[in-house]
Amino acid sequence: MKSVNFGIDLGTTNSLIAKYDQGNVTIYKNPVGHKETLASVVAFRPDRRLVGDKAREYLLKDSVNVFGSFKRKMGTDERYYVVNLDENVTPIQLSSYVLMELKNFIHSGEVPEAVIVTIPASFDTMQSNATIKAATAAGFSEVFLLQEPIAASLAYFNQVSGDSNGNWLVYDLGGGTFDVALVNIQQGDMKVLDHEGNNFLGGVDIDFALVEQLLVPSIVARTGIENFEEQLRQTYGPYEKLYHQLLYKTEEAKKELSAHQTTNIEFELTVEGQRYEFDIDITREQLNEVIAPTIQQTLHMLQQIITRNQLTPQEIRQIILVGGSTLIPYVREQLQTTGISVNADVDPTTAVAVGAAYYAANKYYHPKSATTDPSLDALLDRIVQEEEELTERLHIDISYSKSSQDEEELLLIKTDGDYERCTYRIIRNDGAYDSGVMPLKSKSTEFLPLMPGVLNKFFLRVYDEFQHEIKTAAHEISISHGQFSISGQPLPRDICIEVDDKENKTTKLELVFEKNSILPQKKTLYRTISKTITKGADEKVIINIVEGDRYARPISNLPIGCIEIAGTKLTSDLIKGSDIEIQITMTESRSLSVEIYLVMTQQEFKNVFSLSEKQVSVARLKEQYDELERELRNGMRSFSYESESVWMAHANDLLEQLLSQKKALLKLKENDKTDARYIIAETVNRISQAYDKLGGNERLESLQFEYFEAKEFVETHLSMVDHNKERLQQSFRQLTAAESQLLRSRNSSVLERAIEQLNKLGWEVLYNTNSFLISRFAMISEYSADQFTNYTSARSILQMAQKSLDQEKFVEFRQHFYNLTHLLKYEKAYQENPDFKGTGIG
Amino acid sequence: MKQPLVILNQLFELEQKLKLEQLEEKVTRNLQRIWNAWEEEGYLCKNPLHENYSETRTDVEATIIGQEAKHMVITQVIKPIIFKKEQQELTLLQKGVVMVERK
Repeated sequence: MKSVNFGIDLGTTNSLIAKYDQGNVTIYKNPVGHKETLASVVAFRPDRRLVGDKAREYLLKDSVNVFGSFKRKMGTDERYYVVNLDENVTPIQLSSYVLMELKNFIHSGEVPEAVIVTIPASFDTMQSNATIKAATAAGFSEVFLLQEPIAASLAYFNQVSGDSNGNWLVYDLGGGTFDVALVNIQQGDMKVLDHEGNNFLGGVDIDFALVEQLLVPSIVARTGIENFEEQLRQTYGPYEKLYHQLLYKTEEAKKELSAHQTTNIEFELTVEGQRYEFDIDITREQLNEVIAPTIQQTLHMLQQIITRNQLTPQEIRQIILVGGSTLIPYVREQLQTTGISVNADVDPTTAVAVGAAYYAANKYYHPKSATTDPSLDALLDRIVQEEEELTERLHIDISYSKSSQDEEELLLIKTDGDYERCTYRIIRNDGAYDSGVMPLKSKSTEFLPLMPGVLNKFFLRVYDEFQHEIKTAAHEISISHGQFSISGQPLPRDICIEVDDKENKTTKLELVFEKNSILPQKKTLYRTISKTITKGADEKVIINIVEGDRYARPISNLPIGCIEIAGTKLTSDLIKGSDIEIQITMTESRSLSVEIYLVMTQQEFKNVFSLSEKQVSVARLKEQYDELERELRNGMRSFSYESESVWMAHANDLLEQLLSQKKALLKLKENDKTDARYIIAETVNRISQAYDKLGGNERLESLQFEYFEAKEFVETHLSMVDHNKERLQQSFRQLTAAESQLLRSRNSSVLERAIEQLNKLGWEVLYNTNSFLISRFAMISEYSADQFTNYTSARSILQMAQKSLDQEKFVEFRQHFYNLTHLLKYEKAYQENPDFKGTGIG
Repeated sequence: MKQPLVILNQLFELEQKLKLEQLEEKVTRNLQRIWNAWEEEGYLCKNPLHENYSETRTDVEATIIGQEAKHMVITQVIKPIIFKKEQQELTLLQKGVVMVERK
């Protein structure tokens, strides 16, 4: 015996599927569009079958091939003639297509054998049997029925505890139908005692009424169109487009008025060349007036049930609300006038499906597969064997181009073997394309629409005649749009822009176009100006575009485009923090164009660079030279400390080569017309690259080890930190976020910089940890007077700090400690450039 | 999830109104900047106006105006299509709401 677990709300307008699993109910979502509800509409288009929202779009326009509301015809001998098929279909067949489609919602791949399907309380035996037939045709071998009011009650009672004995009313106002049922519960036994309903009353009628009563009078008053209302509702009439637009907007307004007291509907209309703009305010009161007659009808039916069953409102426990239209506050207010308390605890749109799933949890059936051999292994073997047999009988070959620059790509499907009555379907991974269900033929073609610039993934699924998926025939189709095409050329190296790294008083590279991107490429960067540039001054903003490795230091890359905007070119001062927009374009032939817009001065600068000419900024070159010199000297110091004499000698050699250019560099002026700037830039670039490679793998490994050591140090001490913990943790996360890229870069200077930043953070962590501060304070207290810059002040601070410590005022103590450290004779190991100017781009 | 969609829909509507009043040119830069910022957050907004329409397009909810035909085109966009990009994969966040007519 196995629990059924699956419940389906097979509705007149919408259907849902849910599953009970370990105390929870999951409502499955449509993999296409991710909605929980499926429109109960089936369309037979010329070459494919559609079920759901897409089918509903064609309901009015292709009524000879598209069918909805067939639930009302279940159990009758009604036949629908389908022009495209040239055959009749029954309501049972149509319902089975909806049920099959709902099975596709089950993303876990599980194929349920048994199911609970809900039916209205009014369904007779013929209608009930017809529903069972539909579910059987959809591939369910065991089908149990459950009345909708009972399902809704179950959804509620499974959420609350306590005594449920007595009479309950289930008020179900959906999109197109209304039902009210009297449910009696005695010791867990539920019975529908009576019911009333109207198959043509629901939310859609309310939308129609809103358009007619609230919008049409305003339109007529302003435009004076005769017979406007009549023309508005006319199929293929002059205002058909407006009518659907108004219906959509009133539905949105109706939802808005459930939460707010007022809303507005905006639209425009052109009559005989004159354009009219409308902005109509609608209040909740107006909505209430419009829907009052409809709601009164439902209340009348509710009263009929109470009277017919000789009950008083006091004898009814509560009214349980079902259906999306019960979310309207007026509906709830009016129901309260009956004197019966209104229960809105369950989600009215999913209540029936949820209740069906709860019922399914306690309903059992004999799995067919278990009757021959109950073991799981045997069952799996049989499924695999069956699929293999099918695969042997059915062979599918697909063919398509794996890359494309077109808007769509052709897929060819070739089928061999026994494919009679089999169907296939293709869905795009993002949910924006669904081919619908199509019959499998010996040869089929399908145009697959592609999203530009991304990898488009499609899934081709094949189904047998019972809509069971033949898993071995499935295919994943991946098509890259805009990539690896012969008409586009990939970029051999990263293209970056140099921006300021103010914190470290240096510059860094920011990626513009990634290596292997297909040309042409275009990107707009939005940044802020990082220093104020006065009109007429020599200070400048430097836009330096380089080609190379994004992880390397800027000087190691090849400068391919540079624009300098000096204060002399500005029409007004450019204030720090103002915006700069930089649009960078690279054509297929690799010509680079840079357009700059300074938002504050509203000035545009444009330059097109031919990549055969180098662009070098003298100002940046001087700074980069200084930075490299400083790095080399620091490196030599650390090699000497680590006794790496070979590396030390090599670095010294590089430093000497660099220093040989210093004289020429100092002489270099911005307006120098000689090749000097290019010669120096070339040398600096070569030395920078050589320094990155110095020590090879051994140095890289040693730096990686050092990096992890520094990281572990910070991580360990962060757990003990007493002050600014959150900020420090965030800094740590930021520093280590790009760790994998950092290690992949295999660039010594990048690693050195990361280690330096981690070490800096490590010190900051220690200086926010009480235990460290106390021990350090004890050491400083022992210092002699000549170790302080001002011993008198230091002595007074030492006393105050000791006092705070004795009183355990740690925040105060920390402040005194900081003040004290400023009075220490302290030599900075790393002298940053005090006159750092940078690019001016933050 | 809901608030970004509300903002994007309002922004789209604002842009349409400015186009209609021929004021868009004055704020093109600002609008482009806002769209760009949303794209950096992974939200892609697509206006399918004048694109071809077929029943396989599940990125839009269409209302067919006039006679239904084999070749149809989107003639009015009430709500744009919105995708969310996460780890290089797109997911449809909002279907466009459109009117379609025969070509």
